[in-house]
Amino acid sequence: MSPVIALEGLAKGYDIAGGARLTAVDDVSLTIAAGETYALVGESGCGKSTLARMAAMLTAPDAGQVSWSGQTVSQQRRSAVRAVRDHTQFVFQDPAAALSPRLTVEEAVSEPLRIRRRTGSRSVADLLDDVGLDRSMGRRYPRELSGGQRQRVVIARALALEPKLLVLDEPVASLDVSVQAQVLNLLADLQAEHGLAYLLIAHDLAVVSSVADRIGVMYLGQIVEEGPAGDVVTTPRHPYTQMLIASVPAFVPGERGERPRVVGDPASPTERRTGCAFATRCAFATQVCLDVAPPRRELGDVAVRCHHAS
Amino acid sequence: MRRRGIDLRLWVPLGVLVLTIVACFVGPMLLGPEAGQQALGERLAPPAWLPGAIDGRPLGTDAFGRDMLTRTLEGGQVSLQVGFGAATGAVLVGMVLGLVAGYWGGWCDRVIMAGADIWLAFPFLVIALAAVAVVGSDIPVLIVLLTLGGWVLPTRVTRTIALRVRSEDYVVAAAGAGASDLYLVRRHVLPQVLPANLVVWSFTVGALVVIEGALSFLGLGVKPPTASWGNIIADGTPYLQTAWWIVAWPALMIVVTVICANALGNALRGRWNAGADVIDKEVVP
Repeated sequence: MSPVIALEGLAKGYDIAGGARLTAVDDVSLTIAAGETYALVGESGCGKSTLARMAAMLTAPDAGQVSWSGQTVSQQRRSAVRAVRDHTQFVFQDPAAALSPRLTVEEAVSEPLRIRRRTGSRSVADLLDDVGLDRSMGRRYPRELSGGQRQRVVIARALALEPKLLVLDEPVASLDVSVQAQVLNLLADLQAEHGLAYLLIAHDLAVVSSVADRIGVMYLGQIVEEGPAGDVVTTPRHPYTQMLIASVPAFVPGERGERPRVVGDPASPTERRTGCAFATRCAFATQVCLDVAPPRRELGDVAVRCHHAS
Repeated sequence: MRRRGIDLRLWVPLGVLVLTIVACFVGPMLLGPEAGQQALGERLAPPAWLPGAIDGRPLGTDAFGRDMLTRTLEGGQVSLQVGFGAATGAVLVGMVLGLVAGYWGGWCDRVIMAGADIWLAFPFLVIALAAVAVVGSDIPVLIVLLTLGGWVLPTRVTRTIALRVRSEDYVVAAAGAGASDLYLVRRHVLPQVLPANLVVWSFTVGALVVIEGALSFLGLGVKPPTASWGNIIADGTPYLQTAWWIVAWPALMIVVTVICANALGNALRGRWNAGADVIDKEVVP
């Protein structure tokens, strides 16, 4: 069976002021199986949001392929993509911006159904039930809701077309910590109930380590390490992953092991570079790291882009 | 917070404008055709409260003995038709061009916005002069001409709002659910563009009534004996020292109309926050 989504060699760059070119995503490939949660973590500006938008076909890639359940949707006409958009829906980071101030909850949740003229399928009441909102909320406007409630509305709207994959762009980053757990639990319940696959974008390893089946670590537009969540979190191979794990606060002070500290800033995504993108910050960098871009290497279940990882 | 009760800042200028329109179009019928006729024996009679006033000529008479009340109201018919008609035309043209430029962007956007900049660089009165010389100066011609004089502002306002709304997350979400461009424009962009353009329309009415007055004053408006506020003022200027009322009444009407149109625009802008910042940036008072 073909994966729910397959990204192959995706790349996206932007021309920015001053004639420079910013490489947001550089040769990224990944696949997600049905019912699986794939978490993508990385610092701000590493290209994970751009990748998420390309996966949902909200942004067209410069190069590479996006396939939804075996069907190639990149390089297709816009009208052809429109017809299959039920497959993948997007959940935005800021639920306040993701809801029109002019539409009630009911109108917002039913909008995808109206767009697709599928008024006969799932009712708004069912969708609100699914995300744990009272039906009476339907007549309210987004400004009358809390952040957590708004994000539930956004999720309900994304579910309206019965997608196979939800792309979640930092779905809890703008919520209170107490609400974050509720929304993550809701997402887990929905996954169990509907067999959804998730592409979960996050910058916080602590958030994803508990919910993800697989984790991809992104640095400057590339996935530098990818593997089963347990492996990546407990035995990180790439120095950058090690740095990220070390930066997660330990429960018990002193349990925190000796790992390389986070040093320096990422190199500029507008600079042309040879060699490994992380070399400028890496404690283990040698001459080969500066000269040769590390290829993707398989180490058991884990894939790493590093010359020295073992 | 919405205030309770009647918002005077909105309803007073609106009321005065409606009253002006009704008076200009209904008033002359009530006064009868006789009042607008030339009567050389009644030349330059002063308004009713001054010595030498003629009965039944409350605002005095002009150099041909015509009743100034009738003339002023009749002149308003032309000025208001041209002002409101051209403002409506300008806003309609501006909304279409602004939506195309702001929503679709790309070369459409560059062509339209370059066109707007180039258009503003031309001296409008000179273009108007040439156009009137070629095609005459009927009311429809003046409306088209002044539509051309007012399309840039609504185009820019619409473009800026469309550009902003297009990239809002909730619009991207609708596009991600498979919505067509037509749906997105109709359901998400237009509802935000319309209120802003009603505000622009109001300001434009004021601006175009002044421009129509200027054109008529220069003899580029409707041809006498048809009255318009601008050509009454032009006819009255030689008599400014002896018969000030000829110039005063149409001038007063222009002032009142423009103030009310601008006040209405301000009140509407206060009522709908959508696009208020865009309008503030684009309308240079």
